[in-house]
Formats: sequence, structure tokens, C-alpha cells
Amino acid sequence: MSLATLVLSLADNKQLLGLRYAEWAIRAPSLEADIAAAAMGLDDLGHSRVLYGCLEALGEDPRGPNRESDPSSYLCLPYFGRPWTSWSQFVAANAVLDTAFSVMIQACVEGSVDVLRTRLRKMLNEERFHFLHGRSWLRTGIEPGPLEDAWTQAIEWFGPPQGEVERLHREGALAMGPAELLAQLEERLETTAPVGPVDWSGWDEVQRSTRPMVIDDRTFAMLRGLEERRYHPAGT
Amino acid sequence: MSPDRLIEALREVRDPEMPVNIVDLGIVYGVRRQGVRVEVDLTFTAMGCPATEFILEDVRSRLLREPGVEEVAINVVWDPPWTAARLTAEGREALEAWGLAV
Repeated sequence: MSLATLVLSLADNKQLLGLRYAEWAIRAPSLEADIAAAAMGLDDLGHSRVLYGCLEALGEDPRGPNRESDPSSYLCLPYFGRPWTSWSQFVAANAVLDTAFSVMIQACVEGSVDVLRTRLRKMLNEERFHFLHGRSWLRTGIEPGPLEDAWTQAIEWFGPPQGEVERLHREGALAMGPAELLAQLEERLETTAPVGPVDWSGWDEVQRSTRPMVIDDRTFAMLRGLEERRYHPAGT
Repeated sequence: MSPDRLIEALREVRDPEMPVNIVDLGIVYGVRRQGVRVEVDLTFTAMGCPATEFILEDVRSRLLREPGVEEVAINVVWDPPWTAARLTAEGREALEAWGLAV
């Protein structure tokens, strides 16, 4: 796995996260949370655009022509493949996964790759509010299932102890390896990960997960802009 | 034509969402002219700004109205990140007058 593939994974996950946030903009438990969902969704879609824009500067764009036809070409965690059905899923993603992505962005900003050092710094400013929102809702208490799922997928996304993220860390491109990333995530959330050790034997280094990612048809259509065109035919 | 004049031209470009022009908003990081070509370094207040395309188009079309300008290249930059500290005094006053906390 190259640094560009990791950045693409970050971009794809943020795009899906933004989409899922947006779906809750009229379903959250309060008007303020609705608005926060919309604002955070907009932020993460913007972050994904900037991350995609970094690929050229990194000298490699791992996106192939199958992006229009193959949902598995999106490097997203299984957590984002289907719409969330509970607020607990939203909060767990907001608190744990969004923060996990921010910790990786911090590793990029403090690493040695110039384009990531300069372009991603603003994301950390914007993500501070996502973190505060997620942490506040997390403190109100949520179902344990989504929380454990989010932690497991965050740890898997950081990668195995001696994997490519660790190599990028040793080479200096990233300021943190998987162990430091997890420690940073736990420190920010003021807790230890409530899950056991990962069995890395079935881990896919491209999808960065032990489970297959399945994107439903409607989500895939939205990623390609097809859903929007149904409502805005003049824009096609 | 000096960059100052081009900056003055950009004062006519307003943020679509806020009652302030983009120069006083502090998102214009640099303007350079080389012959008929003008290059602008521009940032946005937020990476998810939904008005980016409008602003880019407004910048481009306003500069193309300046005498002798035939080409406009806009570099979107994110370093240093925009913060409210980049507002000019006029920009801050304009936003505060509209009740926006800055």
C-alpha cells in the first residue's frame, strides 16, 4: 500500500461519512444536532475533495476506471456502506471514526510529505468542532454495539502493528504508526478501546478492514451523483 | 497595471453568504500579473464552503474586465489556514454590523 492509497482511503471514507452525516440532517434528536449534522457533512465532503486533490501531487492516483461501475472500488469501511438506522451509529461514527481520521490527518500534517503538511492543516481546525460534538453526545450514552463496531473499525483502519502504516511512519511520511494513532485516539476520547485484539489474518490492506465492505445501490448512485440528477434533471 | 489595482477590483467581489468582499474577508493571499495573465492565490473560509464555484467564477470574470487582462489563473491554497484573524478591520466591522460573531 502506498501513501496515495492511504490518502484515497481517507478521502473515500470522509466522502461517505459526509454523506451519512447529511442523511441525519433532518433526523437527529434536536434541531441543533440536525444543523450540526449538515455542517459536519459539508465539512467532510469538502475534506474529501481536498484529499482527492492531493493524489496528483503525490504522483499517483489509485482510482481506476471502475469507480463508475464497481462499488468495491471505493475504499470505505463497512461502517459506511449502508445508511445508519440509529442515532447511536451516528454518535459512534462522529466520536470515534471521525476522530480516528483526524488523528491520521495529524500524522500526515506532522509527517514529512510537503503537500500533506500544507494542505491538510486546516482540516484539523475544522475537525475540532466535530470532535467536541461527538464527545458531547457520546457522554449522554449510546448503545454499546455501534460503539464497539466503530472502535473495531477504527483500529483496523489504522492497520496491523507491522503493516504499511508503520512503514510509512518509520520512513517519516507519517508522524505516527498504528500504536501511536490508537494511543492518540484513546487519549482524545479519554478511554481505552472497549474491544479485544484484532485477528489480522483476514485483514484486507486496501479496504483496511477484516470485513468486506458492501455499498448499497442507492449509496453508490449518490456517490456518482445519479441520485441528485433525479431531482435536478436540468443539471445533467 | 499594479497588483494594488487588481486588489481593488477584487474588492468588488462579494462573498455570496456574508456581507463582505473577499479582500476584507482575507481570503485573497496574493495577486500577480505577468503580461495579459493574472494569477491569484485564494483560500476559502471552510474546506466545505458551498460557494467556492461562485467565488471562483466571480473572481475570474471581474479580473477579466480589467484592461489588458486576458487570462486568469486561480490557485486554491490552504496554507496558512484561514481564520477570523485574517479579516481586515473593515471586514470585521461589516460582519459585526450584521450580527455575525467574529
